[in-house]
Amino acid sequence: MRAAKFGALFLTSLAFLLLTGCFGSRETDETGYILAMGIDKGEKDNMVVTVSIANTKAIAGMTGPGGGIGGARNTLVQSVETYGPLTSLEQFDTAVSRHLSLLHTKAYIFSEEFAREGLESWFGTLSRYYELRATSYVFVCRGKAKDFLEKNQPPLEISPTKQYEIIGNLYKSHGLYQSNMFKDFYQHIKSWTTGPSLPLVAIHEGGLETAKPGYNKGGELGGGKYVAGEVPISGENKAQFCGTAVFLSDKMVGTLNGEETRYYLMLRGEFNNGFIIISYPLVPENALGLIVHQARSPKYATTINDDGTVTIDVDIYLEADLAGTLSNVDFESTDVIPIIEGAFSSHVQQECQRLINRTQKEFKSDICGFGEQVKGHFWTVQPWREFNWNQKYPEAAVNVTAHTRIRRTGLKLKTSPVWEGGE
Amino acid sequence: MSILNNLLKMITYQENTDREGFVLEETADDGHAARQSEPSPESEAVPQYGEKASAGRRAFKKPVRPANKAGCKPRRIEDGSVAGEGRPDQASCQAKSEQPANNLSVSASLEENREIVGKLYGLPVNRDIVVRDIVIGASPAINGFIVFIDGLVDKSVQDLLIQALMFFAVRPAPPEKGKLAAYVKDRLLPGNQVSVQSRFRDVLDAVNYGDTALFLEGCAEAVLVETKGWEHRSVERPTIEQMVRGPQEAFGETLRSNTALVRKLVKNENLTTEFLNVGARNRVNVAVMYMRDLADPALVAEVKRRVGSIKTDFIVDSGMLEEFIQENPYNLNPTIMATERPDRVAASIIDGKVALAVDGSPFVLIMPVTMYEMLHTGEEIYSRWQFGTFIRYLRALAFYLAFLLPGFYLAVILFHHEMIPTELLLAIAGNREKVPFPSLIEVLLMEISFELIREAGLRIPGVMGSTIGIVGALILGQAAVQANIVSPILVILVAVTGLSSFAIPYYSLAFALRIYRFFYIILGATLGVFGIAAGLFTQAILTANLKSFGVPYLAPAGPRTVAGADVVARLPVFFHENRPDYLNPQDITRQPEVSRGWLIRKDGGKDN
Repeated sequence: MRAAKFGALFLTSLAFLLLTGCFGSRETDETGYILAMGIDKGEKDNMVVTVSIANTKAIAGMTGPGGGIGGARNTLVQSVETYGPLTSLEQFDTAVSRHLSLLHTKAYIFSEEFAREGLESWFGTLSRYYELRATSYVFVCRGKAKDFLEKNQPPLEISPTKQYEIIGNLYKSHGLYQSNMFKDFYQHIKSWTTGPSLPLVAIHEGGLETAKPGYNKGGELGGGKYVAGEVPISGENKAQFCGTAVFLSDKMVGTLNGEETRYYLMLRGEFNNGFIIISYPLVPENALGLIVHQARSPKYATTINDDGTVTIDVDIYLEADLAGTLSNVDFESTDVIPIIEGAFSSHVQQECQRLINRTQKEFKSDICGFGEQVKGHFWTVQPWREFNWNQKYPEAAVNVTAHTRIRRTGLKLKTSPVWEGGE
Repeated sequence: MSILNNLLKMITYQENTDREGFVLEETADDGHAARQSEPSPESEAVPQYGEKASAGRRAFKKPVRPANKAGCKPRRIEDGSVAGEGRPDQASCQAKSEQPANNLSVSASLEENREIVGKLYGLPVNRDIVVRDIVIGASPAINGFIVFIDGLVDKSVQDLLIQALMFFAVRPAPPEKGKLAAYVKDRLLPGNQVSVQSRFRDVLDAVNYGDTALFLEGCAEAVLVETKGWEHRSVERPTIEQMVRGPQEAFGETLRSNTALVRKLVKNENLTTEFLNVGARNRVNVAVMYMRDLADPALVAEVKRRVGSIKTDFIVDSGMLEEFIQENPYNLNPTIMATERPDRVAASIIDGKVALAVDGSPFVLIMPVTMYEMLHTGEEIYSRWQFGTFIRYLRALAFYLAFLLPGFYLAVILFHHEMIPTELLLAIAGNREKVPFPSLIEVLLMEISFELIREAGLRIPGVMGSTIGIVGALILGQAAVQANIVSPILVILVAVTGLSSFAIPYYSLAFALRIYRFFYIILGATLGVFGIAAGLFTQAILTANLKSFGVPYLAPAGPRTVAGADVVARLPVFFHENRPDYLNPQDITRQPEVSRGWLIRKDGGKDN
């Protein structure tokens, strides 16, 4: 009896092994981890897929006696012209000795040219694949994604994955680009309420020559007036992250620069922190820098008028600290602060309105997600879909009110005037 | 017809008489009778409780196995045969009643007694048995001899006794020679424990245990004087269960001093120490200690029933006894706890548990125990409750790491690459690039090396043992990494696993986890996290099925009962109001709800 029991137990465990075990296992040294995948438009076939495969030996510092960082490259970049992203994995396997895995792919980078033709079918394909991580970041590359992957060698990071992860969170400290994961973007493509958007990346080959004229030279305020690839930076790493690609449905229709991206984030309630420069009304020639936080989520009030048009009132709540004060005014004084607050509020309102106008007139895409609020007026999905928000959005009236407070004056409590000599 | 009969016979239940199972060879009543035939002073001290216990004992009747009883016919020694003639094949079925001396009475003739003693001890071949003739200086002088074992007796005590008998016994001898023994005991001998016995079995037991037997001419009884005094280790610090705070005494090899160590901590007349004899050949004394007014009588009866029923020839350590009396010897988990610390035994006894001390073993068994108690050290109670709770949680973590970590590592590294953060995975993968083995072999290699170091560290003679163990581990790990035999991450992993298993306070439980670990390594490497989950499920079921003297091993969590203040978290001592519920103690209350009397102010706190 006992022997029979043990026999049954043994057979069961053997069945476990034979039916489910062993076959799914794959050693780390049989696997090549694709850290980033770039997709460009192909000339003869659908696309050019570029993958950046982790060179784990170099990353772990195991190449040669001197350590890996100076020696071999941490990533191996390869491209193939192919039909689709999954086919490309097989094609790469003919040249790479490892099974290529998408399990740790941190970034999918689509070229602008490719994005303008529509991404839905490729996102559908990828999201069905069991190795896909829906928490990967997605970027749109101005120029070729292939170039981006080849030239992006973050000097501070050992592997590019860390770069993407940090970039994915760094937007919170300035808001010059946003962060969108695979799942969010795919959801927005299918959404009837929110238009999709993606952060912009590019390779900037030049140096400082792309700089635009500054505030005192007749140009715009702020450091975010650029999109990726234009920011006048000279230095080692050529990759830049700045601005937003705006989509209508799954097709890219335009770009926002860094500054506009901030107001975009503010309207969505995702703006975390940033340095915003405004013009100070009392001394207009000197700009005033503020460190701005979103104090609380925006409040939306929506009305559907009798004629079917929609009115949306957005209240934005911001807090600011005094930061860059070029003029010698006692900004800390309680008389001055309301003036700054007024100027700052009107600046934010103006910029937000300008952004909304662009999305309504130029892009016709509700990337700020106002539809999410309007949807509340409908009890069921069918009337909401019949209402056809995406058609109505360009005609909607959006009023933005900014409520701003200067909470802190930085480390200074009082500014004394400069002694201007004894006359 | 015969075919039908054969078929019927095949499907009818028949007890398997060929194999040693868990069916007792002897009914409870047999064992009881055997013990009653040789009462010890200790068991006489608590006659009332013994009665109670025997009532409970009958409730645990087990089927008799007739075949064995028949195959083990009692041997008498009327023919004068001596113990040494016992055939080895009969040793296994020997009961106490079959030893040669059992039914032999002390003779009135001194010469006859001398002859019997000589035969029983195999004199004069047997050289450490001393038979010394004396003449008691009473008037008229009485001839006699004393028997003792050289080395087991305290010579100074013995000298005193002989002196008393030979020089100072100047009183007149009593008229009736039959009462001589009682007279000597009452009037002549200053020894602190003196008894009079008439059966050779009792005399031999006492002499074998270091007493001195005095035979007198014309008296059919022997006087037994307590002269125990052999070389032994003194009370030392605990070597296995070390701790920072709390008593630093450990048990030794002497039963009486072990029981005294407990009694020193439990100064209560209800603490009962019963003695049982186990081991047909070496007749080791086993002390059963419990609180008469706390321990569940059924529990005490069951402990005594199990110990009393054991038929074996030789028991040296409590570890052997443990295996004989535990319910689930096939499961890896121990269900009886052994400790070398009197304070733990005392605390358990006060909880209503039973302790078994085996003569010659510095580890005292505590029963019943739950797995949670095996993760306690007692030190948590001595240090502040926050510290105790912290340590307990740390230990809970160590418990899981000790058997799951390598298996889980393999599962993740082979099946679930997506579970590790990318950077870590790349670091692990990069370090594994030069390793020529599959991960499973790599882990097994390291684990087995670690086990080797552990075992070798114990066996390496002398003081260099621990040093070589540590150095060996360090050098081996470093060299293995440099030679690209294993990856450095794995060395860390094995080290953490090893540390975790050392953090399990009870050695047997830690050992069980060490073995479980290999199961999980195989499961993790073949089935991934699914295998680990399946293994955990199976292990949880098997463990929940265990019982320690009727108490579920996972109580109070599985099955859920009243948790109390001292299971995983250790609440402040003034919340420990009840004894553990699963022990079913006679008095569940340990202290009143307000145990800190000083908190109650007579003036209602107005004085402040």
